[in-house]
Amino acid sequence: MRYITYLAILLALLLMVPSAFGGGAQEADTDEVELLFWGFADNRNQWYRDVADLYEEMHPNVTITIETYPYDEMHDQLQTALVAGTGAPDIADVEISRFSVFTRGARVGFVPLNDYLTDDQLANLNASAALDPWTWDGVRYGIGNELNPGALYYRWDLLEEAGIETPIETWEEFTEAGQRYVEETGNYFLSVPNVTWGWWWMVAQAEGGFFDETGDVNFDNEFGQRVLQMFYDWVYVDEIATLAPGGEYDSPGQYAALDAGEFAVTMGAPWFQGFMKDNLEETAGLWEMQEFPIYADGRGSRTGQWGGTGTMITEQSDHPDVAWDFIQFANFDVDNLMLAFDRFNLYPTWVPALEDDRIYEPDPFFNDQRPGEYVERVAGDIPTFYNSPYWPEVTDYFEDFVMDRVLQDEISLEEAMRVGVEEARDLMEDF
Amino acid sequence: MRSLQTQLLYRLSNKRSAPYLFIAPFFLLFLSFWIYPVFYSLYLSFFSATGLGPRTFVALDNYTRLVGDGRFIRSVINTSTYAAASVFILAPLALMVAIALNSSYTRYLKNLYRLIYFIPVITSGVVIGIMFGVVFDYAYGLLNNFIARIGIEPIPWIRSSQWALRSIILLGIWIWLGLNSLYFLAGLQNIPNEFYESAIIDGANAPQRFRFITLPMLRPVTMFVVIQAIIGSYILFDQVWVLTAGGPQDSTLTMTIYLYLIGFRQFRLGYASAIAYSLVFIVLGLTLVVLLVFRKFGDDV
Repeated sequence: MRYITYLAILLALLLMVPSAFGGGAQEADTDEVELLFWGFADNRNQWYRDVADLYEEMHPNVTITIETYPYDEMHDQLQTALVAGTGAPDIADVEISRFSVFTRGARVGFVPLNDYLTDDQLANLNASAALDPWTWDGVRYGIGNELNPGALYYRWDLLEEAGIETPIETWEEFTEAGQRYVEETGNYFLSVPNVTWGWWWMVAQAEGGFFDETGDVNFDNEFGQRVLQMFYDWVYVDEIATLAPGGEYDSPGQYAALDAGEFAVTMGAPWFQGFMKDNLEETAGLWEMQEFPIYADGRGSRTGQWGGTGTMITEQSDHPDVAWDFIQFANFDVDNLMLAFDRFNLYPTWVPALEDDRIYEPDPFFNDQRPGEYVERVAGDIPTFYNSPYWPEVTDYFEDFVMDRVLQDEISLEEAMRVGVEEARDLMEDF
Repeated sequence: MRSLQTQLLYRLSNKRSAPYLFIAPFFLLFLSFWIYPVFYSLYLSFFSATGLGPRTFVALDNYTRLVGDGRFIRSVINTSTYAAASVFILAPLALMVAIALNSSYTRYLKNLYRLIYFIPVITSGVVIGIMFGVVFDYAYGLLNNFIARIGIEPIPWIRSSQWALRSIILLGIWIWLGLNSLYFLAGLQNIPNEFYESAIIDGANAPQRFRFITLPMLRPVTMFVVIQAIIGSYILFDQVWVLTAGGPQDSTLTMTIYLYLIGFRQFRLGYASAIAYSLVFIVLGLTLVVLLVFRKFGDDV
């Protein structure tokens, strides 16, 4: 009797399940398509929402839901859903440093785009920012729509007061200007990031970055050493810099210090321009930008890929063709990309969009400079980006045990690089 | 079809099955979201499961690998240091605070103290982490600003690998002191006053009364506090993740942060499961040790 009761409870609950979900999906109209999009950046998602509204107007049978989750949570959930085999969205935004882990298993988890991309489209994309970071074994899995050449931003008013002329051509001149600035004002010239993200621009200068084209560790090359030495000297020898509040440029403490005029210089990619506008209300109009200086001997790079996000179709999507159509609509259309430019200074990887006049408008935040001209000037100089499946281990290790220890004066640079490369290779072999 | 449903409903409507029906939702959720993952994780810990795709059975390889994994050992040492501080610094402090709160001198401020000590407990770990990022900052932090005024050199609270774990311990004490004091306070208030009165008549002084009445009577509460501190320490994650993410140089890498890094940042699910189970074994072992110690201690009295 008792068992029959238990069984009855169980069966009753089971019977409740389908009715709770509206009774099966068989009768659904096959033309109706629902797409789910996951992203982690508010401004990107607001733009995707705008574009989705336009797309839904043109295709009434398609409904697109845009969901935003915090950065870590979204990527973690996406990985979990792909492992579980269910629950993943149709389309997802994947940040540049979170893509490589997907290349570790037998499957990548996203729909290959090689057959979708036409030759015409390929010819019109800036490959180093749009395709390379989301390509693995020759298969393209995502479209990055942001051109992210890092730049140097400075307070023109403070520099003028200190008698410093811009643009600054070489790093040697930059350091001298910093010393003059510190003498004049008693404030630091800039801050140096010693934890996450700070190394992005170091990658830029290091003509290649963390890995070389063979996949070997490359952060100890001549330029990697040179840049880290320069960081170190700024803090301990030239005394023009301090470690950034919170250890990074995108931190509340750093923004507060910038807005209060405690540093005159900072660095970042175009997405950082949007962050500056959101966080530096007091000093709007007092900022200008220039490309990175290079070294007096002519080596170095004027810019470098600094971050980025790719949009992918997951393997669980029931409508990859519609999803691709939407991604094309958003990312390969000048007017739609302009909506993103208006929202958060997105400089498109879609080359025809860079011919649009609107990108070259003067920007009041940057004292009526034309940021678009800067991007156009340096876009071709972005050094190639080599990804690696060991990206998370090696970059984490580099931040924590090479960069941070050198910048906290705990270990000499030569020692840190020597041990660092050995350890990083061990990590890769160990895997 | 309809008759089956009607029959089921009829059966469910009888009084004896009603209680089971009421508790069924909890147990179904408990089974699917708790018991199932727990066992699945154990199963997964015997596999090499990296990224997406097929898994290979590796028996105990993940566990033998742990023994030689320097970062894992580091995380065990860090977490155990934190746990030791919770047991040997936090718990005695909490007892002292409870005794102070229980004394007749603080009678009128009791409610205020209770409120002040309880605020951190109801604040989310993430909020605490963000807040203390501002407090602990080296150049612009509140704490360094304060100690500079009384003439102390600034301390690299969370920036240096020497200090970071200490700062996390300090933060842990700030968060948990209040709650643990309340546990002790409840224990203190349960000790009948007659014991103290008769001890005074027998000529026992204050330290003797503490040693022979208060401590033994608090044994169950103390055991509870210690076991809770151990479990809480080994699952420590959010504040540390927000404040230091395990750095600088792994000096605050806790076991749960390492588990997260391996599972998500490195996408090695089998190995992450092995870390999770080693965590379970450590906590289980320590809890048994505590139970034994307290039993022995109890026999002495």
